[in-house]
Parts: sequence; C-alpha cells; structure tokens
Amino acid sequence: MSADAPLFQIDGLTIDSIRADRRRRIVQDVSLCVAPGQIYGLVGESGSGKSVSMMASVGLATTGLAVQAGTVRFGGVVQQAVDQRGLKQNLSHGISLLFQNAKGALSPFLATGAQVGRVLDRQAIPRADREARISELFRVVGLNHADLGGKYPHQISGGQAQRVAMACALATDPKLLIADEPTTALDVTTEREMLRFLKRLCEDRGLAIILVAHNLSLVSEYCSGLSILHAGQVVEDGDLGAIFDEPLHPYTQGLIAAVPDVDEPHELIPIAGSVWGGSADIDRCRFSHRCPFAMPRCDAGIPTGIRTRGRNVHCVLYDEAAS
Amino acid sequence: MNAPVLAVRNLTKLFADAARPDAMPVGVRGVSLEVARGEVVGLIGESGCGKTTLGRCIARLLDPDSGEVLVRDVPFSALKGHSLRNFRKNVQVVFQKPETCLNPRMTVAVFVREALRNFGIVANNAEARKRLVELASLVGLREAALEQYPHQLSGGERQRVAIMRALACEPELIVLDEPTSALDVSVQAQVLRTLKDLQTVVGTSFLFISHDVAVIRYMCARVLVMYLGVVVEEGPVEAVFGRPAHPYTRALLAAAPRIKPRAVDPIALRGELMLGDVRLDECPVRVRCPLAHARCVEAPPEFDLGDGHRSACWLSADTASRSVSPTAMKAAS
Repeated sequence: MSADAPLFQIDGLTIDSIRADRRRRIVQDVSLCVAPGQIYGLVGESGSGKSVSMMASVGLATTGLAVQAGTVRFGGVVQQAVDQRGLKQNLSHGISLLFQNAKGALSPFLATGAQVGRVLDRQAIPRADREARISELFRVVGLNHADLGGKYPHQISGGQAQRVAMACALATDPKLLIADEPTTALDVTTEREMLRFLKRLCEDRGLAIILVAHNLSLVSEYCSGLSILHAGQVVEDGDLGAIFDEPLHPYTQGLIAAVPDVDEPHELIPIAGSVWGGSADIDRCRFSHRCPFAMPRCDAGIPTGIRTRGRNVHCVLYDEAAS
Repeated sequence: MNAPVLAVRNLTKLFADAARPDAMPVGVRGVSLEVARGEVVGLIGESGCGKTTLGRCIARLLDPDSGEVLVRDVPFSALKGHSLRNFRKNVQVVFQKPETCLNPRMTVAVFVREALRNFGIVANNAEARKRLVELASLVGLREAALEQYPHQLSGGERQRVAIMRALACEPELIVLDEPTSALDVSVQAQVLRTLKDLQTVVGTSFLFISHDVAVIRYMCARVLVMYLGVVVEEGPVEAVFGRPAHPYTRALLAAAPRIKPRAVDPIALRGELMLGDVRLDECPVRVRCPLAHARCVEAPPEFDLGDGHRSACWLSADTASRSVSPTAMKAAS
C-alpha cells in the first residue's frame, strides 16, 4: 500500500562505526518506506541502530560513523547516503526532528515564543506575519501563546516543553517528522495525549511520521507500518497489523512474549543474551546466538526479506515457504 | 495475622520550592501502609507523586517530617547512632540505575563482600566466598562475573549485582525503586523473572516502586496508587486492576500502552499536573478529574470497598460499606 507513492524511502543503508582501530558494522542494509500521512514505527532494543540509521538518513551522522552505502529518496529525488553533507542540505526543508529530551532540545536562554520565532526567521517570514505565525503554531500544538510564549524552558512542564519542540519542528512546515522516542521522558497520561496529537496531525495535514521507539506496545496503537531492528539488521518489516497478529521472526515473537500485559498478566519469557552478544559478522544472522530455532544455516547468511503474509521476514526459517 | 514486616504510619515528608514559597510543597502527605512477611507490595504513580520519597523515607535515606516507620515493630524512624547503623541491614534498597550504586573500582566480589562483612554476616573471607557463590546463583549471575568490574558487565547483570548486594545483608524488606526502568524489554523480563523466583525462594518482602502498571501487575499481590503525595487507591491487584474505583487509577490504567490496544478509551485526565492549580483542602485530582463535581472541593476520606480495597473518591462513597479514617490532603503544617 505504501509502495505506490512513497514519501520517504531508505534503501540499503549501511553504516560502520570506527572507534580507534576497531571497525564494526552497526547498521546493515536497512531499508524502509513511508507513505504520506503514515505513522511508521521503528522498534528495537537500545544499541540496535534505530537512531543512528535515522540520523544518517537525513545527513546527521556523527563523527566516528562512516556511511558505507545506501540511498535516500525524498519527494521523488534520490540521493546517496554517503554524501551526508548533500543530504543535510537538501533534506533540512521538508523533514523535522523531535527528540526524547525536549528540555535539552530547547535553549535555556530563550523564551519559548522566541525559540519558535528563530525557526521562522530562517525562512524569511514577513515581520508582520511573524507574531501571528508563532501564535498559530502554539495553537496547533495545543498551547496558549499568550500564557506560555514568554516563559523559559525551566518554567514549563516536560509535556509542554515537548509541545514547544513540536511547534519548532512544525514551523518549517515539514512533510515528514522523525520522532525519536518523543514520549519516553513523559508520564503515561501525557504520553497518550502527545501520541494522539501526533496522530491527529497526520490525519489533518498529511504529515508522515517515523516513530522511533524501544517499546513495542507504544507503536501498536498508532502506527500502520513497522520495522523491527536487531543489531543493525531489519528482522521483520511490513504491515503492523499482520506482524502483531502473527509475528513470524523469532525475535519479534520473543519481544512480544517479554512485554508484561496490563489486562491479562502472563508469565514473561525473556530473550536470552544481549543485542551485540553474538557475532557482528556481516553475512550472517546476528540474532542466532539468542534464537531458540538457530541452525547452522543461520551462520551462512541472512535471506533478504522473504515476502509472506503481509510482511517481509528476514529469517531462514521461512526460506522454503516463499519459494 | 502475623505482625507486618513494615508498617508506615501517617508519614509526611514535604519539599518546598525555595524559589516559589507560595507554591504547594511536593512529597508525601500522611501516608500509611503495611507490608506483611513475604508480601510484594507495589507503589504506582506518575513522576512527582512522592513514591520515591516514600521509599527513601522507609529506607531512612531521608528523615520524615512526621509520622513513623516501624520495621518488625521497631520504630526505625526514631533510631539513632549505633542502633540505627545495625538496624539498617533490615531494609535494603535497589535503585533504578545500577551504575550509580556500584563502585567502579571494585570487582563484584569485593563490592558485595563489603556488605557481607559490614554487618558481620560472615566471619572470614572463606565463608564470604562461599556465600558469594550462593548469592550469585540466586540472582542468576554467572560465577565468572564475580571477578569482573561493573563496566565489564551488561546493564541487566549490573542490576543483578545491585539485587545481590541488597540480598547479601539478609534484609527483612527490600525497597525496589524502578529497578527495571532503565533496562530493555528483553532484559527487563529476565530481571523480573529473577526477582519473582527469588521472592518465592528467599521470602523477603518487597516494596516495588514503578510507574509501569504492567510491571506492577506482573510482580505484586497488593498495590497502592499515589497521586500528589497521597494514596488515592489501594488493594489487591485483581481488585485495583480489574475494578478500579478511583478516576485517577482508571485513567492511569487506560493510558498504559498495550500490545493489543483496547477499543474503548473510557476516561482521560485533563492536562498535566500543575502544582499551582491544586489547593490543599480539596481532592488532589479535582483539577484534572473528568468526573469532578461540587463535593470534590472537600478532600474525600478513604472508602472501604471490601477485601482491603480502598478508594479515596467521593464517587466510591455509594458503593462503600463504611468509611475508614479521614485521609487525603492534610494541610501541611
């Protein structure tokens, strides 16, 4: 469904981390595809490479990271991810970012209204319209400019700070919002409000969102598409409903069994080992050391996305089923 | 019934904001609770509700403004000097971030042995070694990890070391303050499983503090829901999760993210906790409560719904058989 007119598409993104004399492939051949107005979930445990691949896909890979391969397609233009500088220049209009720590993202020396104004100043908004635009942006994110515009970040709550960061992100009128754990620092009741607000934005303005999260239960309610990452490899991706109804990859199954449930408590089944506990070799499945179904073939290679039952699963278990 | 391991009576500990002396102080206001031997009691609430403050007062990391903490009928909160020092072994704490409580310059064995020797639990190093191996197997830590430093361990292993250190003192009660919040789901599942198994083997009482309602439901037999320093609802988990009586509890449960989302979203709180809006003599939830009405300007008492299930909400008055002690926001003195 998202294949007909993708807004944002990453293909074969591969990133190495270089630290001293050690070189490690931390993101291997990651691809994903987001349609306009879609909320797409990117889930994985810490260190699985979800933030790194998002940052590199908009040209913000930090030092110590070397993008090896991959293309990014946004609004019909295809660019090489290796050219981080070019990516950053071309994507800074049209894509906005939202981070976990909203208070850290805001300047402590500027009143919230002025922060939003700074973003507007980069776009040559006529002086006369500027104040009206700021009030409008505050209204969109559910804040009152008259009350909060003059306050500094330390004077407002975490939820309000995240909304101000949101207003800054929307000030450039983006087509895509990359929200990296936007609610992890918030309380559950505030979190729900924030996510509902994001969902409404998608419905009203056709904004697409990539929701990066470590919590599977967070994406289940709001996203329509999903990629699950483990040690820099996509293990399963596609339609969220299909994946949750019938998880196929052993890692997805493991993640779902490990999450405690509020309504029907069940025995938790932990996944043994840790994300990077096994081999970090390039041409093999990196989940095999934690996998209950591991077999010798897992060390030999990883099938690239077997299309079955509404999703792609990257596991040799389903190799025969597809052919 | 046997005497509770922990009894907290009317405990108050408030922190005033020096920059805004007129704003309402946050903390714990007149909370009472009991934990029986071998019981796992959960404490849930959002940030700022006072759950950590309560945990710290119980472990005597903070001294309460008023009220008392009894551990095995000994008034822990009144002890001083040597008797306090010796008594501390009975209440141990596991914190959210194990990194902050482990010594980076000590191997696990040296670190835990300090706890063992400090309270005279073992006489010599040979005995300590034997006990260390036992403890490691209890918390599911591989024996080789005993000779390693914290930075060589994974996050889950470090939290196991913190639990192991708490257990080493052979305490009556362990206060677990968000022990798995910093961990990934797969590791969280490992640690929760370990804690649950451990609890059945050792029989230590746990006070489990968390903001994650699903984790509390998995771990605990009884639960207390806190909001702005007071307990708004308490009772057995099946009752509180199955038939939540207080609007705040209902909102908290409804807001929890789920793998299988619920079709209906019955109740939601308005806005966020704003200290400036709350008045001391009214129901603390009133300003955010969707069911607030005229009576809520007066703080409700706790109403007994049977089976130890209590709710501090006027709406529970009709279903309750009788009201218990008047509670809620006692004016800060």
